[in-house]
Amino acid sequence: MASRHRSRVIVGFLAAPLLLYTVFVASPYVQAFYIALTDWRGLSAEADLVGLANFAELSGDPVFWKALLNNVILLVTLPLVTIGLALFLAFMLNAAGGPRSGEIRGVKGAGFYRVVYFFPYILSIAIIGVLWTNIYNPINGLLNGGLRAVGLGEVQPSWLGDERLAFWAVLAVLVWNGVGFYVVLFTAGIKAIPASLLEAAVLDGASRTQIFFRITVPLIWENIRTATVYLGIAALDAFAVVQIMTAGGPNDSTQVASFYLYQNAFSYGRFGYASAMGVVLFAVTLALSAFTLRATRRERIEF
Amino acid sequence: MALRKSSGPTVTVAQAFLVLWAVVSTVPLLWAVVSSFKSDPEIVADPWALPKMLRWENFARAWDSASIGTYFGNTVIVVGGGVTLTLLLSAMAAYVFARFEFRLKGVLYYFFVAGMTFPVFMALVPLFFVVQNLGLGDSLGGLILVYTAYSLPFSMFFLVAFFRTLPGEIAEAATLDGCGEIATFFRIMLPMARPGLISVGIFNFIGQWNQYLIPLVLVSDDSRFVLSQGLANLAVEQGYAGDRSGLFAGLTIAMLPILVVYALLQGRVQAGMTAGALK
Amino acid sequence: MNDRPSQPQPTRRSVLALIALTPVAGALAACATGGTRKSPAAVATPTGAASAGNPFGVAVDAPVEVVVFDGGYGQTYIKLPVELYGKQHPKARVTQTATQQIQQSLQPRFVAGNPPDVVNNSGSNAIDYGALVKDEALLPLQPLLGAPSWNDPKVTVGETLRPGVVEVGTHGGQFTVLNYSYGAYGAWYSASLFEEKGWTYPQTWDAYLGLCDKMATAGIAPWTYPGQFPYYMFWWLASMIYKVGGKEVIDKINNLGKDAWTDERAVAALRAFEAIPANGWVLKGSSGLNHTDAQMQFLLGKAGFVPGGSWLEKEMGDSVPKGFDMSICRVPSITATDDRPFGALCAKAGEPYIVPRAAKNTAGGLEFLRAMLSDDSAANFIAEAGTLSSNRRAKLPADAKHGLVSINAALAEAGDNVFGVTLDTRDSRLWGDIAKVMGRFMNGDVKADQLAKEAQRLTDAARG
Repeated sequence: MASRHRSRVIVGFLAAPLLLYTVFVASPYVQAFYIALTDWRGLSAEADLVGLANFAELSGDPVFWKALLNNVILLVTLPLVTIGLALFLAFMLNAAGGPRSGEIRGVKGAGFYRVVYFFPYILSIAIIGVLWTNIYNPINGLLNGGLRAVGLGEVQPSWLGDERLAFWAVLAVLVWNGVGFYVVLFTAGIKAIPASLLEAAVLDGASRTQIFFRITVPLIWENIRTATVYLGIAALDAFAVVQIMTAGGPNDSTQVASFYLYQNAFSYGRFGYASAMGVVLFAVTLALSAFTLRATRRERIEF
Repeated sequence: MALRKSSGPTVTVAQAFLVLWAVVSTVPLLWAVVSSFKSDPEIVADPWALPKMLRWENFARAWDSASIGTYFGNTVIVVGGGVTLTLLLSAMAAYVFARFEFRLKGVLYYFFVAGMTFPVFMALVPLFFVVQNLGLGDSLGGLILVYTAYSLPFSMFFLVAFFRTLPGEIAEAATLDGCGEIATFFRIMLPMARPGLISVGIFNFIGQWNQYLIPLVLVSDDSRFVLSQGLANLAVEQGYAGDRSGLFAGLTIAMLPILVVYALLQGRVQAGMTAGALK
Repeated sequence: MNDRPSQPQPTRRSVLALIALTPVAGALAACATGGTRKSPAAVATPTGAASAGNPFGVAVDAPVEVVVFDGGYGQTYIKLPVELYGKQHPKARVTQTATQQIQQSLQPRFVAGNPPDVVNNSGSNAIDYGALVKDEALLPLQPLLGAPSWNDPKVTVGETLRPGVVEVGTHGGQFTVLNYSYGAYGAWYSASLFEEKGWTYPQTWDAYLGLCDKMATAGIAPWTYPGQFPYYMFWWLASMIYKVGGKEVIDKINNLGKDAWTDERAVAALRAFEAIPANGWVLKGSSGLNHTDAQMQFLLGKAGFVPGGSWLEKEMGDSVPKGFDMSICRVPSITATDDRPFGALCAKAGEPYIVPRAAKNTAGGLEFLRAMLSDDSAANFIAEAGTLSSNRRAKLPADAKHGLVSINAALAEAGDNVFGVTLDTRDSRLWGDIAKVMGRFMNGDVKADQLAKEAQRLTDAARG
């Protein structure tokens, strides 16, 4: 009796979530593999199996390679810059307070800083894209207006229009967007470090720099590792900022795989080709997450 | 407990840097708000100047003519429905995974959790056709279902861990007292899981409120646009329709509610947003 | 509002949701290929007797159903042809509905074999023309061309059409799509600015460059363009190529031909324009602007010329200063042996209307299109939509804006020396890829010869 009732509950409670998840999340991934083998252009009658032709074309598509290269550069730079900046800020928030030479202590208003740093993170990435497009506007944007105001009227970069600058301008927006989140994340880790450990280090005459590298970083390594994975996923995506700010231009200098996939599907109607791209990215993601987990594995330090 | 003297200036520099980053974080947002009160010629003339007068009509124009009001309403409906459904379904699933042993439990659990690993865009094409074929394209209901589906893996993963921390004896006792499993879940376990549900709710609220790619692909009827999509469309496709102050007003309308909610609940929001990472 | 290539939307198929639930690749085959189509119905025969006032022989009491796309041109302009039809055939009931979701609302009716009689298949949710043509779902509109025009029985409907209307509406060898609006593309200047400075619009390219020099001296950048959407340069550069090389070269470009861009006449045109970026005559920062930004710089008098089409004046609305006198540019003579005379223009019909072959009252559908192409309906469309109509005889309203008047005059002057760019709809990817190179050309990163070579390489690759 009871067990039949129990299994009814199990089935009843799992049915709806499982159905939704299977239909909208799992099945598209499975279908992508099949569609990738067709030349489907979205019209019902025109899907022929073409084997691996899409993959062959992908391997010779210079824009796709350019996009992947940009993703790889993002994959290295985005975590590096964001984590570096966030670690520094988090450490300073928690260690730069107190008298000039005295105990290690958080700065005054550390909570306020954390709230403010977090602002960019809670806004929609679409809104951020629109906002920064305006900030970067070469003629009446905030940035070049600022340059003019400080007497640099001759230096008026076309931030998103210049092949040499656009990619870095986009990267800067992603960093700006993310830092606050990781400051909060690292702060949680830093706060968990026992005060006695820091006091002992100070007594031993360690400088803040030494404390940072020898104590803080190793002790919050788990958080740094999590951050790396999160930022890696963000670097593989980067869809919204690219779609809104540059549409992959100028001259593909900001093209990324996610946007190129979207363009092929919804602008060029090449659904088979776009799905093949999805499959390749699926494999890349899988390989990368395995790699990241392995590369950042360290003995967890218990305290 | 004296630090070396050399760290003195370092600390000053560091503190200056803390202030600098606070400025970098906020000035762009303030700029959008300030610009939303200017006229178009003022915006073009000097991006750093303050508005000569507060042009509230920019907001009225953005709300009506630029349809920000419609987008706002759509977003409220979709996110309201999406978060509610996400909480309900993920709590139900999590409860089952946390409390019962059954065949295929491990398989099903990992089947769900695997969904956290890959970004949506990889399966974008099939997702589009699945939604179209179900007749859910261009509808707010379709968006609610898709948002929920993509929010389930993380929410469930988080809540399973949460339910496991709750004492199982209470549920056992309730069942013995003649409370059915379903009643136990809704009357006893859900209220006990409140802190966890709030964290997950905040996480999903912010995530779904800010969602961009899914509505961009699934909704092409501009009367059903959500806020982020509508603003991006206004800025990119229409080049803000020759109304830059209106665009800034729209940005402000889209930013302010979420910033205010955040400022009021910041501790909770930070906890909710980082909850997953700290698990 | 042809300013952005529309996204091709896939057709909705009646595949059951269950397929999505079956994660088996074999079953998924049905997902991509499901749905059967109705074989094309025979052309409906007229059900009434044809006569001078009733060229298609519509049954006088047969109802007509019209579905209009509710887009940038609104939908009220359709009221007048409905009224005219009713006057001519008082017993017929004409019903008219409007939607933004042409495909979603009409595709099922096409599949079921009871489509409306007239469909304004427009917007980003239009039914895919490739599918319609393949299924032979469209009624050929040739009879319309030979029929007497609504206002003057001595003139046929065909004779009232502007150049290129039939060409752009021909799919698979049949004229099946009537494009009702008509727009010019190229670049704009301010006639009042020219007058104020004592400049005259140049007839030759040398004079044009001289003018640019004067502009630069006066502190006005001769050109700006939307670097974020470099395809805006396509129409102007194509116009220059047409001026030098004529229809032959343009056809090669539109049809992904060999030696199209590298044709010496095309290269000559591009080389002529190369002087603009080479002399630093492009407004600084243009590469980072979107279309409205660039147009705003033009309206503020910071730049002398801006690329764009008919829609620009309406798009900028109140931002156009009073007395700005926006005027469409004509291409100056570039070489001594230009194929086309001064005044040649890039122009194309848009806003497609179709009569489904399976419609109940196809004769009524044709008759309705004839009413739409009447001088009155077309003039009414111009007044309401703010753009020209495919009927060349339609009058402009008294309060027509300067830009519209200038296009109308330029078209009259151009006569048959008009061409359209069709590459954007034919291969949107190639179009975008070539535009990217044009962006680099405007920045001065790429010279004319390289642009021609690269565009040809892309064309050859796309042709396969």
